[in-house]
Amino acid sequence: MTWVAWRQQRLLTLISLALVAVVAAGMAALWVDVSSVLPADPNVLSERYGDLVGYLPMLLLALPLLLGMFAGAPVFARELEQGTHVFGLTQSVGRTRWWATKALVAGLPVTAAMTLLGLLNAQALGPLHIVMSSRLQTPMFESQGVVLGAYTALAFAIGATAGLLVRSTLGAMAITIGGYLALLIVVSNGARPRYATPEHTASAATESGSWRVEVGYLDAQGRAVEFSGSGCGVRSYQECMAEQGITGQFADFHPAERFWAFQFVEAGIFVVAAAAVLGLGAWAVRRLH
Amino acid sequence: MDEGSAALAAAGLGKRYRRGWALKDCTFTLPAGRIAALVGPNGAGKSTLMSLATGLLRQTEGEVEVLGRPGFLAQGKPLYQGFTVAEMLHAGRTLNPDWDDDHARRLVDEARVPLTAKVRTLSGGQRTRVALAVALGRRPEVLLLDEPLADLDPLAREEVMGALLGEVAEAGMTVVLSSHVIADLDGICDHLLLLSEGRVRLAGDVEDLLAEHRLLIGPRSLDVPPDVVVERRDTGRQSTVLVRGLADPPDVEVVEPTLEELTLGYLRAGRAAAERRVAA
Repeated sequence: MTWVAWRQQRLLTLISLALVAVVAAGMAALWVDVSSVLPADPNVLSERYGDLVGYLPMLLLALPLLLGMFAGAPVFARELEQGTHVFGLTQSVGRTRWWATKALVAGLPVTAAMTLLGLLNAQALGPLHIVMSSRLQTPMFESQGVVLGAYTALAFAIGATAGLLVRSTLGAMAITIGGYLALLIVVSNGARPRYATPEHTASAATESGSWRVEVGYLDAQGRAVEFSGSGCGVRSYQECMAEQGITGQFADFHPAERFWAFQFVEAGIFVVAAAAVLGLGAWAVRRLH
Repeated sequence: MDEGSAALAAAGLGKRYRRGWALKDCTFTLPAGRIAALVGPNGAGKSTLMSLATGLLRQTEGEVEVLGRPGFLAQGKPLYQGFTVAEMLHAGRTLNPDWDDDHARRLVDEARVPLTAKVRTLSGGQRTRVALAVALGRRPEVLLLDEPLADLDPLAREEVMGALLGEVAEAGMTVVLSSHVIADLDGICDHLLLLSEGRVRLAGDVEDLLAEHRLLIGPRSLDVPPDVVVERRDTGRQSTVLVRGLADPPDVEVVEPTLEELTLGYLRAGRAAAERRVAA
């Protein structure tokens, strides 16, 4: 069964791995380049890599989605469209084994490749955290580390399972886009700031590379207060704040050292989600005909 | 397998889809070593019955059992389009522990299909021969073929049937062939299973069935006991009546029906009954 699954998916897997390899080559070149100028002044790094850091995450964010659509969605949908699942399901191989082998043979190479790419990216992009606001924040967080593999696992699982359910490659691709983006947006905005209790500082300045999740104003008693700039008229903001009793600022933030802890928590969430989606597929294949 | 034991048996088998029952109250036994024709119009439940027998579908009620190692050629002969013929045979080998590679290769050789050809480049006849070789490579004891002759030209039909019959004679397996073209199966099949509107209308040995039935051709005034009439057609001044088990036929022209006349009679009767049910 492994041979059949590999032979069926061979072309798509090789194209997917080639795509990841091209991106990896670019990231390796960046790593070499960054290493050659280190240690460097932050302004020099900004000058040199500012543009790149602007658009590189777009590509890296899209990659797991593309793999889910082009390596995941066709795994079962194409068979169902062509009717060849009838052949596979009427041989001496049980249907759960048929499903599991196909899913593993198609899903493991792309997930493994993307995990390796993520680790490479962490090396290449790590020193550039000075250029970005924070490594913990979208889109830099999603562009490196172990999450890349986990994102790919989820996108692949959605593509493969949707193919089983809707029996159409195009439909499965559309569901992959919707499902993957929905979970990514919900997790990065709703869950990620809560992976740990933010640290609190009663000053506006936080360490470089930390992720400020909440900033506000304090009165003389140290309580958080709202500041409304609309009633200030022609006075300076400083005068106006003083009138409203504001004496200082605070920030809640995650320090930069939490990067890997956050990476593993987020990767865990996506791996569990991928397992749940695959579980749905394992259920769906039992009533497939 | 012993002659006389069952190769395929169904009891009270039924399958309901969302749109209704595709198969209902299906009970029959197919003796081993037979070549059975599974006949019925499109939508009669032939493919549903085959899918239930192979385990591709799960029945809503009742039981169906294949007694012996199964082989199945599905409708449309699904093969992996991008595979070569050799790779398709390799797939058969890796998916079946009891695979007979020499046998499968010989069948492909006999069909003069090159092993290096891609499946998608094959003609309909070659495709069928490769699909048959893959199905027979498992050395099945019960071979189920769903519309194997559809979309083949007459010459290819003859070749495919020739190859199949050669195998059957050699291996002594049981074959179930479905078709909606009865003429294809006449002279080949020795057992009949007739489905119409999701129900078994007729099942049994072809010779016995033909011997039990008579076609009466006479004037419209022809009086036949209604309990033996399968189907009656009145055209102009003449009536043609298909009867079963009438010991003492009236004084009119009496002939033994052909397989085609017999099956068509039952199919028309089945449809008329269904129409009456809908109207009622």
